[in-house]
Amino acid sequence: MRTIIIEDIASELALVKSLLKQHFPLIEVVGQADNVAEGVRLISTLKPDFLLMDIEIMGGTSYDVLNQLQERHVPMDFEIIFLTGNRKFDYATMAFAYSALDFLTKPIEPDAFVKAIEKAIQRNNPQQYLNQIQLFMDLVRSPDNQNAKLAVHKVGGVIEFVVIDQLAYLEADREITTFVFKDGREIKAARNLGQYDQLLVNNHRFFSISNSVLINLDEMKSYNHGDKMVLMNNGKQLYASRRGGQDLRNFITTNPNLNQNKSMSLLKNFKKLFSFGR
Amino acid sequence: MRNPTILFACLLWFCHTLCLAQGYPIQKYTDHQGLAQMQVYSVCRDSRGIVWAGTGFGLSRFNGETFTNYTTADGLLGNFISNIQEDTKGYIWISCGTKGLVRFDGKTFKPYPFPKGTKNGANPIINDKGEVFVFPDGKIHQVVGDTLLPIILKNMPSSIREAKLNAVFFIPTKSLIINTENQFYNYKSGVWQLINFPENSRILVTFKDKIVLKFSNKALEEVYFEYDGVNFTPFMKTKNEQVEVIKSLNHDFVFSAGKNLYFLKKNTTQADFIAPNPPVANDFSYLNQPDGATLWIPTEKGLWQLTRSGFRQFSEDQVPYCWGVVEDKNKQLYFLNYDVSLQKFDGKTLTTIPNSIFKFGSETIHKQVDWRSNAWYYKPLRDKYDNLWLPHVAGVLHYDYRKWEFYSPKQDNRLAFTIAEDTKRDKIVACGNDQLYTIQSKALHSIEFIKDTTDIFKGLILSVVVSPDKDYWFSGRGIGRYNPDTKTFQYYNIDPKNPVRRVLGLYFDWKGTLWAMSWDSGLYRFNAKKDIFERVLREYFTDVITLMEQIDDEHLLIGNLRGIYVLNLKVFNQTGKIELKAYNQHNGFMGLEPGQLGTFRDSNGYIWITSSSVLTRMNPKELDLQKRPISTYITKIGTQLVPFVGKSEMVMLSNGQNTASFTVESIGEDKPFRSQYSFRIKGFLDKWSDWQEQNLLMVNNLPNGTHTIEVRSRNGTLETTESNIVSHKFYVAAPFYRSPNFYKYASFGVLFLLLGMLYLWQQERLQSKKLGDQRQRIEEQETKVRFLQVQTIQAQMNPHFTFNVLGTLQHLILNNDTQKANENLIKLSSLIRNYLEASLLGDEQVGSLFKHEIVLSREVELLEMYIEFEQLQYENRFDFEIVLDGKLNPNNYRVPPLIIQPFIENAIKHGLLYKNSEEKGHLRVHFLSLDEDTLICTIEDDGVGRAKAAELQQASFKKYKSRGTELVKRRVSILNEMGYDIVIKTDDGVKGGTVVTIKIGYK
Repeated sequence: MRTIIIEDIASELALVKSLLKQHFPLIEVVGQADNVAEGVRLISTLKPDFLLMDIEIMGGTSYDVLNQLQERHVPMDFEIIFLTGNRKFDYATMAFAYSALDFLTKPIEPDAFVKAIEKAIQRNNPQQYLNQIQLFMDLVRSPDNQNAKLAVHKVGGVIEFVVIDQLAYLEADREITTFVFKDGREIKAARNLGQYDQLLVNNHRFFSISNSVLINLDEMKSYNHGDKMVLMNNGKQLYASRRGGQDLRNFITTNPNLNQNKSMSLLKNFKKLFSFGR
Repeated sequence: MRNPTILFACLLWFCHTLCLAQGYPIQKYTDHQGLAQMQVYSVCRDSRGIVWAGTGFGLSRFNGETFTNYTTADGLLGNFISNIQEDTKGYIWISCGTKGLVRFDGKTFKPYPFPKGTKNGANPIINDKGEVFVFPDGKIHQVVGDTLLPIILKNMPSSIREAKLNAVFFIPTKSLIINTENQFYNYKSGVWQLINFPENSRILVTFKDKIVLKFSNKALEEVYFEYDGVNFTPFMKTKNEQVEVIKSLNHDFVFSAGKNLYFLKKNTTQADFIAPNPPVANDFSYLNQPDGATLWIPTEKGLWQLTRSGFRQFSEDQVPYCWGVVEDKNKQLYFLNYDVSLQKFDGKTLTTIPNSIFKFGSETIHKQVDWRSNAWYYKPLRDKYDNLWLPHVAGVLHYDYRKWEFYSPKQDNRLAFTIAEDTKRDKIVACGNDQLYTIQSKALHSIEFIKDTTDIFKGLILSVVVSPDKDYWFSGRGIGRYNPDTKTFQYYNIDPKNPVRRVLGLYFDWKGTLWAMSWDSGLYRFNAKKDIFERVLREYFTDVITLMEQIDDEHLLIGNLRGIYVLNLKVFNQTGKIELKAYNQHNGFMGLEPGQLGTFRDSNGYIWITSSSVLTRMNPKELDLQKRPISTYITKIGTQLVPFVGKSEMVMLSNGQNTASFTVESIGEDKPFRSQYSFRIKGFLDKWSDWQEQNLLMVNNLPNGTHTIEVRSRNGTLETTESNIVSHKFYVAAPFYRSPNFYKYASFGVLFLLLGMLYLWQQERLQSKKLGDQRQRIEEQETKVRFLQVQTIQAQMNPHFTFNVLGTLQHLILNNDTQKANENLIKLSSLIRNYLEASLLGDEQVGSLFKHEIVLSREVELLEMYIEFEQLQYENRFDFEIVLDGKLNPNNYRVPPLIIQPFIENAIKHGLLYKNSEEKGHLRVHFLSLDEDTLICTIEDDGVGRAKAAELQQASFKKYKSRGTELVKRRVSILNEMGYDIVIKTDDGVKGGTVVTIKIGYK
């Protein structure tokens, strides 16, 4: 298997090479680059099967490499293993989470490295993988994409791309997370809810009303703090935990225009005002 | 008797003087009262009671009080009004001379002009079908719709075709009387019949069943005759001022003869003189007035209102200022004119009795009072010996048909204000200043005084009467009663609350009931059983009563300043029901302010009534006692006239007004002296308004929509003369801001709105302030939490720990244990990364309060790494286990980071490490979820225990203090404020050591 490594730190490059040599003798490193232009050139000429790529490289990022490859219509029929010293703090890395792509953090943990390479070798659905890459690229290009999608590993191994705005809520049942859409359709993901919640809460209007339920605030009709019941637009009643309920109430009071515009609240105030007489 | 003409003339002369003496009351209306012009040519009193007068300069409408005038400017075809008639529907047809005919409905004048150049108008004829015919230049036209249609008379003789036509419709036979220049034809159904009327006959007036004509005969007499379609009957001849009535008529007839105006009353052969020389118009159609007390006459000197029956009067020229009337045994009447004269009236002539024949007692007294020789007062009387007694300022004048003699007290105070006769004791009782006195009516004429010390004797005593039981009743400042036999007084108050009240007069009716006329509170009647005066007819008489006189067995006359009233006494006594009829200028009683105690009933049964103006003689037999209801009319709504004919149209108030004014009037012969009006509007003012005299009713702030106003009127305070109720619809369409109470509601609304806005604004402000505060508080807390978190991390990652770990790594590398060094290096990097992440989490502004939480699995991972590092440093000193309760899914559970770690550090550093180094310690961390919201973490060590640790610490010079736990505790307290419920409990372990229980829950 032909591999290209794009990495600008020599020690990391050496580590990767040694790990490959040690665990995957069949993988042949055909080229290595430490900047964007060289990377693009190598990939388009050498057509590798594998690409090991640090995200931050000289002259830009690995996304720039992929971008330029796409612009040049170089077929992306290779597996990519991303490496990063960073895990969470830039938006682009979040794109991994959306597109369900794996990446390795530095310093490289040999076990994780081996697992990731094995997984890549065993991948049997190249089209799905390309879609993941495509989603990843889209997200990187326009981070505030309105119709943001999320790649969901369904039970059975298939990845489904879900339009986040179409979701009503997510419900965890131990290791399984059920995605419930506005229209009532459900899919079951073979991932913990924890896998998604940080992403959805921080970047979308999702709210964790309990450890097992994550709702789309735009799909919430009303919240009754008395019995901690959340009524969804589709009529579904969900119950908040103590923590979640308190949190939700706090959130609603600090965001009074949630779900209702100003005139509605004015009207409510008028109603209040006039109901004094009765 | 030889010369009947002389006899006739004599008769006429008598008649004349008689008439001159007692004239028919006539009220004259001229330009001063508002008439359009003095020369009145035609009069019509219509069925409503409105009097229409056609003058040479316009039409006058008279409602009994005011005139409204119309000219061509208002829609007449000409200002010369030759004839006015009412048709069966109630329209008024006005002939404007040769200009044409106009129909009036009270609102609009509808013109029917004659062809231009018409020279002869002639009066129109209106038959009982309501058809109207006119004769411009003798050509018959009928009013059809809006036009005058010529009517062709069949078989018209060629001889009259070119002749001038005049025509009179003749109702009983439905025939036309066609009048050419000198001939009359009776036309019926195409048959023409010549009528042989005397030459120069002229049609005067058409009555319902006949026409009246006159001609001049050869003796230069004017002969009046009737024609009923078959026969013609002369009924009167006149020559100059001489009038010979041949036959009585069945209707009243007014005519002029010579220079005088005469009145021939129906069913009499006596033509009475009315007035000298007022030329009466040629149009006699005014005689077609409905029956009633008065007849309206058109004259060249204004519009005259003649009282036909019930009243006669002496004018002020004849009887200047009469205060008292008395009749002697020879039916001679004496009129006591205050400060003017004493007059005698023998039924025909008035003569003045010269006051030189009076003797005022002694010479001295005579001189004293001579200058006031005609100071006559009230109630002269004829005693039972038929002698006359006349009250005077100087005493009482006595007349025994031989001489006039004064009897008076021999002192200054002689005034006899009123006198009465005590037939039992042959005395005349007089009242005056501060006293009563009696005069013997026979022989000695001795005088006695009656006096008391009470209030009533401290002023003028106004009236004295003698009761049937011969007590003396007198009034003034209250009412007194004197018994001459016992010489005792008794006093009465008409109002116990206000004892000094003026009582103008007392009157005993024929049944001996005593009435009291008060000055200010109407009429009282004495209740002998209860011995008190009771007020009666309270609603009718509210102020002064000036006179009372019983007319006959059934009727009682009452007078006040506004007129006289006849009460049906019989009905009143029997049932208490009040039947009262008022008389004033509208129905023949012309006296202005009927006089104080100014009545006298003569031997004929006539009632003489004094007044400030004329002296009236009322004939009760002729008196029209029938009550004729008055009618109320709305003449104008705002400025829009309201028609009196036809359906009343809805009137829309102009210009979006919501204030309506209504001009109203009351009409009828029994019309009040002053009308009073009251109205209501259903649904707006449901109660009748108070009575008001002003004839302009104003209603403000009407709501939009259709309303019906109802108006009624009455005769002063006389409820019984209340009119019909007239109603009219009108429509209000005012803009909203004119609607009633708009400003009230609007200001309320605005106020309310402002208050509401203020309230909302305040709420909004409070809310935002609250939110702001809350947000600020949360932010502050978050900042603190984060700060403490960072500090906690710093405490964990302190140089001691970090360099110890690095030192351990160095040691491993030096010992060539690269594999292990690498593992630990990765662990360290992971630990650092996680610490960094834990401190940097959650940059987002909006979101969960609990956003700093991390997934439990990661927390556990961190703890594991941390403990492993500690193990690396303190090799083989302790082992550990982290146990997760089976139900707990650490991937879904979230906890605030770095709460547990410091306590683990504590357990290692102060529990396990103090332990004997040979003995391997054990650390157990156990996670358990009680429920969705509560996580319990126990950190259990089998170290030295808290007490020992504290002891050892005391001994140590290092004085190690765990900054980590300190910071965590502070952080926990803030987190608890934010909604967490984190409880940390430290206990001694069962087998020694320490157990820390951390409960992480939520409030």
